Amino acid sequence: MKGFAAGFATGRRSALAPRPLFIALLAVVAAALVALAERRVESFGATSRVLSGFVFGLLIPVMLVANATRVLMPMRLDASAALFARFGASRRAVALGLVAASMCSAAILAAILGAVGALVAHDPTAPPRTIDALTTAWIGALTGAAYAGLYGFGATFGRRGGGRYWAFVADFVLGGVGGLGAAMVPRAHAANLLGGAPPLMLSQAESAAVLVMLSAVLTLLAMARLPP
Amino acid sequence: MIAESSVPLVVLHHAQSLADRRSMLPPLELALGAGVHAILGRPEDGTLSIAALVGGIAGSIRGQVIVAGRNPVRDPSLRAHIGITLEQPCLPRAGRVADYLDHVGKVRGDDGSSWEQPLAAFGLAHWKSRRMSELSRAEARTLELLVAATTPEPFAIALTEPGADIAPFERQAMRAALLRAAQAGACVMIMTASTVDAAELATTIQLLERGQITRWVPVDESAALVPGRGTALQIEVDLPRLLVAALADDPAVSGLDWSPDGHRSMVSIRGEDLDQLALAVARAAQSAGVKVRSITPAAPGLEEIRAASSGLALAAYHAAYRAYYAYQTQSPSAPPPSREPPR
Repeated sequence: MKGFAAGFATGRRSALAPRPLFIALLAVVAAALVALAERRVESFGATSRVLSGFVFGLLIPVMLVANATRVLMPMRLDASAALFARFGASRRAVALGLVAASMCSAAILAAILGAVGALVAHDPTAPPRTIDALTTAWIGALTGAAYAGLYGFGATFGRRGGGRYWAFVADFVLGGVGGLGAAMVPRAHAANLLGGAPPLMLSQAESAAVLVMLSAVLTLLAMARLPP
Repeated sequence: MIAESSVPLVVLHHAQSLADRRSMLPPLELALGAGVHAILGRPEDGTLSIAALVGGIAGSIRGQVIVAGRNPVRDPSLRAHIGITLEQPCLPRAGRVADYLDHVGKVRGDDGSSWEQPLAAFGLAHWKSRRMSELSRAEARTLELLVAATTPEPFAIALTEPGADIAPFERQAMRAALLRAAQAGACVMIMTASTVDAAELATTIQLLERGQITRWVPVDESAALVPGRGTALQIEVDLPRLLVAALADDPAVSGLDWSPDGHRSMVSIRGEDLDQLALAVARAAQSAGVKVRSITPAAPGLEEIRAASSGLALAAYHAAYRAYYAYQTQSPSAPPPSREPPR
């Protein structure tokens, strides 16, 4: 428990440092500007286009891989966990704390980006503004947590945890082609929840459940790959 | 004076981490008991890998790493009693120094408030409110050194080059902490290429060559590492020419080195006995009327020790060969002598 607390607190401090907060603010501004531009070009369907395209398709994956690198540190997950594991904590406990901090910050960031996109690009075909923003926010939170799990698992591969970048590429590639591969990465499920094509004909509720499962299973797999 | 225990507390048997294998470093072979041991060697001998293996940071892909009878990689409770510093400091870059020390204390089972005293003793009390991201590499290494030296009830403390790339701090406090740990039964290892650091901090000097301890001596007898060299003193004076003239005829001085070019205020002298040399300097300084600014024992360099070891090994080989040849000449049909290495 002490290892988890130390890992979580360190991860939280990394996420809330001035530099990542400033970059997050820039991302929010970028999401708002793109949403505004989409709305100016064509009001009808602007919300769908900006959320499925720029916000969930590009901005959130890029921001979250940067967030994971910051919170889990630019090294293998077992090396990050050694920061406190060397003082008697279990590596798995420390790593779980770091991944949990990464998940929380990723969920909040993705929720904010999604909500800002929905609010600014709001079009006549979309539900009421508040409901639309709240719905997009929870989709963003689920997607963010799943991405954090994916990047945490990826960080257990490679000499310096470079597996997280392979996970980023795999999400882009598999999430775009459909089929079983798409069902294993967050991108396709986020698109389904936003009203896009469902992977393996899954319902939106099933996609939401898969995102929760991806977060948990990938985190557990990452822990299983670490020594005690 | 610490009595070095003969019971091995730290055992590295053919141990090699993955990074070492990639770097073509030799496997490590050593067994050390309680005491403060300087592991004298170069990085290519494996000195930089020892702390990571002993602290359980890096797993050994072959061989064994055993500390107090257990494997530190797989035993978190054992790691709580092992203090290490690495070549590259391994610290979080977020938060403040006090936050980090609090977390370390909690993970170790302290209440966190016990950091005030060691920080003050090391002369680093003003670091508490500093941001971790602001610490330079030398400062981060110093902080790691403090944390390692204050490990509670330690089984082992492994410090990598504790005298190199370090911010100024109270070294005497660290030395005292290491001696206390050794007296309590810990195996303190100081991996260094500096004979000066080894002589300052340790009670035994272990010579590491290609991953193996080839020789060891108590630090009081470090002159034995280079037989025939005797002991040496370096003296800094205001009027070196007068001191050299006064020392030239002193029977305690067997060798004298001074160059009017370069460091002209430094005089180096050699003799058999350190105390006799110091007395000779005092006599000469008084008679010549010079002012001694500093006087320090000059430790032999690592290369000098290596050369002496090679010479000793060659001499042992020749002695064994001569003995064997003489034996064969006397009784050609007799079996060869025992394979015991020559002493």
